[in-house]
Amino acid sequence: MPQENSTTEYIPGRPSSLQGKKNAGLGDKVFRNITLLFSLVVVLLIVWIGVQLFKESSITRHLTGISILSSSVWDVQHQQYGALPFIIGTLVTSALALLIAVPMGLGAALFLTEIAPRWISTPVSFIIELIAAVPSVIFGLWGFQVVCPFLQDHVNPWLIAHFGSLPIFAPPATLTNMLAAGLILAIMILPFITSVSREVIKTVPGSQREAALGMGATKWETVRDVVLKGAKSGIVGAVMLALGRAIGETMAVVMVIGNNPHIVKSLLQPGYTMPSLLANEFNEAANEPIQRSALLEIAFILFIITLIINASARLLILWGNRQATGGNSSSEKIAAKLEVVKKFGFPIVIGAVCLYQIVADVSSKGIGGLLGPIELVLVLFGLSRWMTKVCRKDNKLWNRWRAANHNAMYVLFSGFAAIACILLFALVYYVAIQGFRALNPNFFLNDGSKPPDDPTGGMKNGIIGTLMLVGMGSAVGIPIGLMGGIFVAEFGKGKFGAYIRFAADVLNGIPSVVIGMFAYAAFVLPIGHFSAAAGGAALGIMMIPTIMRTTEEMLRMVPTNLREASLGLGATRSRTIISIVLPAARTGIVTGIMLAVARIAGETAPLLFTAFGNQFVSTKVNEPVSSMTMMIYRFATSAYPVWIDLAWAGALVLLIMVLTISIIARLATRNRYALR
Amino acid sequence: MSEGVPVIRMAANSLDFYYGSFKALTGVNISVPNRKVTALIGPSGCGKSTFLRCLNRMNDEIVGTKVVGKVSLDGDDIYARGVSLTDLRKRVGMVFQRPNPFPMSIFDNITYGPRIHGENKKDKLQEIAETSLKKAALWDEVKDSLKKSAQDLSGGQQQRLCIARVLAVEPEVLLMDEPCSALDPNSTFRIEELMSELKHKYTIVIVTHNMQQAARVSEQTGFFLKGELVEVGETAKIFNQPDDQRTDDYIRGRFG
Repeated sequence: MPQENSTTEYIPGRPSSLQGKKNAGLGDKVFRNITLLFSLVVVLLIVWIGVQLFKESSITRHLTGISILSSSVWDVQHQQYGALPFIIGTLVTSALALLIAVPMGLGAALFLTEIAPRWISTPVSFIIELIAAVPSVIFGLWGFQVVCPFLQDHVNPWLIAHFGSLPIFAPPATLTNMLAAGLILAIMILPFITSVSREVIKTVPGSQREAALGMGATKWETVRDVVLKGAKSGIVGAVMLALGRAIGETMAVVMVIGNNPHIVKSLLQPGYTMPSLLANEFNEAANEPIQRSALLEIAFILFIITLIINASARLLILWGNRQATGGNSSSEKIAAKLEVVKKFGFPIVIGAVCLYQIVADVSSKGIGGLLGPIELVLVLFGLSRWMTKVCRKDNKLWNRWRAANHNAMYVLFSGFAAIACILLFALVYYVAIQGFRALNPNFFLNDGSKPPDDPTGGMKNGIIGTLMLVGMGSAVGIPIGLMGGIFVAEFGKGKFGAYIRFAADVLNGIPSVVIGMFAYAAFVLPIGHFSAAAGGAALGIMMIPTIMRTTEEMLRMVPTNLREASLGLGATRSRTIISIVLPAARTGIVTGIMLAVARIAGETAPLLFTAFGNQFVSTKVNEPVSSMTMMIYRFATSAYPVWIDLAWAGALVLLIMVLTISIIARLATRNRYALR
Repeated sequence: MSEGVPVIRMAANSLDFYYGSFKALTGVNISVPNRKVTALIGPSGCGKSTFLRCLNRMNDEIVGTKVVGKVSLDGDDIYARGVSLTDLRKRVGMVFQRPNPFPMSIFDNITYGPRIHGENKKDKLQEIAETSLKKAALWDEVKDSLKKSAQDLSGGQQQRLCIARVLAVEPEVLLMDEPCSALDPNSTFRIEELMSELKHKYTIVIVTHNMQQAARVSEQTGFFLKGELVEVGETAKIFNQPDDQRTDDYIRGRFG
């Protein structure tokens, strides 16, 4: 602009040379608001799930009121709906799973972060993460066909022989029972606990490790006193997330727990959990308004429980991350109270149990009963306390004792990691052996409508159904997740973004069985019949939070200077995101999508209530279709060898499919980041 | 008073150090005199911190590192086979660049070292906490809040806490890796005061990028450049008439 005067001053009303067109920046605003709408879907969904389940379960709520939580009688004929056996069964199996999986998962995480050299930790964490990708129905099949018989032959008799006097191990043992369910659940949540703990442990600053080592602490002492202490609240959060998963797990449990709607004291007896009840009784309840309402109410209770657990777990993890760098004194008050429980509560309880067991052993087996496992553990414990006391007196002995402790812990942790790997190999091995034996061309050519004595049956209908359902799920989940992820990564820096992220994490933790019941209540009931579309919607909902969070993580990893380069050239924000940031994060985003696809391809529970299953090949969107997972479930729980073989073949094909996707996805982005 | 204790506490003889294939230290020869402060100066990346971490084998914690040559404590090779790392680090304590208190109370921080080294009597630990905090000139500020989280202290207090924590295990040699670089001038002054107190009882090696600090607190100074110890000698001599031209250039601020 030709300005004669060198002093340019601001004249009101004069168009500035910097003023652009009137609607400049409008595109950015529109883009932002569109992505915002998509991101709000997660919040909306959580509310909708709660409201819908609550609304559709009104019949039983009026009938039984709050006593559904306290009554232990589940009698459909007499319209008595007490959920207590299922609530207790859920809590007991989950607690058992945590009891086994937490020490193992944490030990494996410590092995991977603190002990193992890179060339071991990289493949081992890869293998452990693969366990997480195995569909739960395959765990159920393996558990029912392999683990349960093994336990019944080798473990249950031993438990009864040595601990039978304790009510929780009272005989007789059944093939499917609570213990088996807890064990399978433990294996399923093990990889989850391992990978989340690993992330949390990594947030403990290296400088604190150095401080302890620099003072002459052994590595184990450093881990025990510094690493675990610093990561404590994060680990508690991880454990609670795992609890949420265990509580909501359906398929693996329904196949191994025995499905007995009564409260039992012994872990060796069959039980029931809330999710397995839904999966098991849904078929008969679908046409019975009252029973249907009771199941929807159970789904609602499950929704509320997991919502609370997940929300508090996420808060704990956020809090823990902050705490790793800055202190917090209120946490110490809680810690002080817990200290009292630890100091007096645990020893009293454990002491009482041990005493009871010793008395029982001696009274049943005479003096030889003193050689039981509990007694041996007690002797070892006493011995180690005594060693500590003796060695403390002499510097040289003390150092040896510390080194011995260090080595013992290292062996233990390495052992845990090794067990996790062995379990995966055992599972893959069995599925491969049985699957290859049973697999033949008919599997792909015929559908599953053949009678149980005809060995030419196949899963053509299931394969086509799975492809259809996954396709429809992706059509729902990918765009919403992607756009929502763009919003939280690019526009969600403030509090609002944090809320959305939180909601996505909470939605991610809602059990698939609950989402299935919701999709049933929201899409099947109003229309009046089961359909592939409803199944696709349920799977799509499950995809949204995972895709959203991985997209966000990937976008955040795009370096700032790349954005600035584009913005500095005068590109708009939306233009920069679409043509620079998204392409730069492409590999990561595609990986996230592939992992989400692998996950829903292995889903069973939500489909039972929506797509329902179909004996024949169907490609119609508004008709019921089958899926490989549903067919595996129904064939595996049948009494016919031919069908069980078919289930193994299906498991093999599904496992190959899912693991291939996961392996490709993980290899594509290896070394760049750790995916959960 | 110090009979039987050698005049030279630690010594490095033709020490080479590698990070993978990168040679970070070449032929370092230095003796650390008893109950004196030895300052190590030099530009960033010259290897002075790496050398310091060789003295209590903290570099062992980094994967892919290698040491050639000899480092001795009272004449014993610390890299010899069978040397107990925990014992070595108990005798040769370290204070780090950034204050790194544990996420525990002040009391638990101080008594952590004694506890892992076998002390478990309550009154003894109490006594150790008090004397170490007094030595680190922190007692008066924290004596009423020993149960509070150490991470609530100010940066300067945290660093003195870390010094007290090291003193609690009664080391013979104290290694300090730029202990004031994350602190404000006032806290720096207090730490320097503390060092001149401590040198009556301890042998101190300090890495610093602050030449005035080296001149103020040390008796002996070594100048590192590109992984070599260019010159080592009495502090006054290094700062006033160094033998080597490169030392002179650095001291006069011509580079670095």
